[in-house]
Amino acid sequence: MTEFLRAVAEHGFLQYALIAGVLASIACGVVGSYVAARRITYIAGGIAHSVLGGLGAARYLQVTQGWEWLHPLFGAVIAALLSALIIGMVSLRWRESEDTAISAIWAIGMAAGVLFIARTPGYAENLMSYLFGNILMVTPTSLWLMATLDLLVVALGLLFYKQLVAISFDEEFARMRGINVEAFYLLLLCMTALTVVLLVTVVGLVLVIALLTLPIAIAGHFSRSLRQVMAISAALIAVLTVAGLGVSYNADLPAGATIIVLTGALYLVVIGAASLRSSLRRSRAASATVESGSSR
Amino acid sequence: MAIEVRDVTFSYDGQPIVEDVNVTVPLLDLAAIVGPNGGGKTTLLKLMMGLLQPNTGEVRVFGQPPRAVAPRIGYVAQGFSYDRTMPITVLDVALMGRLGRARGRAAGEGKHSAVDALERVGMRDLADQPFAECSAGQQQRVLIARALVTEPDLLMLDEPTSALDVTAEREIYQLLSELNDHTTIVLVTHDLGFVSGVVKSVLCVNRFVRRHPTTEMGELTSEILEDLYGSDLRLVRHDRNEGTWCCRD
Repeated sequence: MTEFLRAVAEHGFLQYALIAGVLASIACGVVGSYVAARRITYIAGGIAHSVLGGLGAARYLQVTQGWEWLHPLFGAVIAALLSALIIGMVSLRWRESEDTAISAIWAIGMAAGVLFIARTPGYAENLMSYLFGNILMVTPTSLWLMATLDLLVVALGLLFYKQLVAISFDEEFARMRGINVEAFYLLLLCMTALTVVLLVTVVGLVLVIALLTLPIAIAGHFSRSLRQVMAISAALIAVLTVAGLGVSYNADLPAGATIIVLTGALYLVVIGAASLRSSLRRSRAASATVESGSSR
Repeated sequence: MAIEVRDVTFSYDGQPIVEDVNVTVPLLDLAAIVGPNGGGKTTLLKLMMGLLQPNTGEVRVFGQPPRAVAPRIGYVAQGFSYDRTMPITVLDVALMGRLGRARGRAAGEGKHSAVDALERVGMRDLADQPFAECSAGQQQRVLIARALVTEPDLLMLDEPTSALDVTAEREIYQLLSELNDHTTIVLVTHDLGFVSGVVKSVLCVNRFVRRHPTTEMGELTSEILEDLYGSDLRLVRHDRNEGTWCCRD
């Protein structure tokens, strides 16, 4: 661990990686809590995969047209927002076609990305880092972009807390209270899209879904309100990201996958402990009833 | 009139759910919507609130389109329309009744009215408990409290006592009866017998809708049940309190 800390102090890229991880954690905790509450995990998965189309297209234009300013993250933001709005419109108008829309966006986005990457001159090494993340490649430019997205998403999430909680808990009641349910639903999808982009940088688009769901589920075991879920899960994700970075640096392993495996392991431990505790409590309660029955 | 429904037809997937509905609910009425399962009870309630739009005809609440007066309507949905697993306390659920109000100093006032409403439904002691850990009956009471927090002029309840035991059910109807002094109430129920002591009118829904003021009839008669279930039924009288009508096919 001390070795890792010394390396962080020495290397700028490790510092950027840590900052990126912590930035993404905050948005992930806030938005992930809504995603779980509103049950739109599958939509988030679809958006995450469609992002490859945007990354690929932007990279392609950057290389072939010489548009240096077109950072692939811009492409990712546009693709993610577009996917979120298309899925959102379909699910609001034709509820029964929602799954089809998600699947289409999911696969077509990836296919488009693969085609763009195939046509981009140079090595296709970008593909792997898009899919599984390459947090060590974070540049100061992308860090600024990430910070902006993070601030936007977290501010929206906290500003509209009551409304977003209301539409997640009970849509009809929210509607009766004059809340524009459709608008807030679309807003939540756009916030999810931006969060996905942040996470893609850290763990890659295939693994996004794990960070967006598992820490939230863990935090849910210790929370009485969505606000607490947000705080606990954000802290958890930050710790897991930093720990994952440390482990991957020491053992020379891919950072994204290491973070996900750590997250998955923690999830299994917590869920296992929780179910063990509840079954223990149940058997204790059962034996208590037997005792009180026999004493009578 | 609190609610006027004129020539309303509503169909889903080409299947008519309610047809040619012409019914009015006067101010300070306490109306029970009754009828067989799938007969359109919840549909009628949602049409009255503007949560569903009629294919033909129109609905007026306090003389206006229902969506325009939505803030004056308190709504208690049937059990399964909300997320039972979300981490949220009983008090926070009740506080949702304050949504859509002006911000500012209202915050403390809002908490006061939420605690007050929980007190009225006997849930004050559990205010800080997670909603998900409450029994179905307790959850239903919290949802009633949330509707009370909205300080409604019209209270709409969809099977508000389906998860409650007999004592709790009687308490809720007692509460509704008190609220009825200044609030018009419409509720969906399938336990007509229990509400017969407090309701002022019965809306029979079985695709078509008919209203029977209980004062004119004196007591609920087999006429209502024929409306609902046709003539091939048998009446069973239970001697519980003043008497309860049930029906069997």
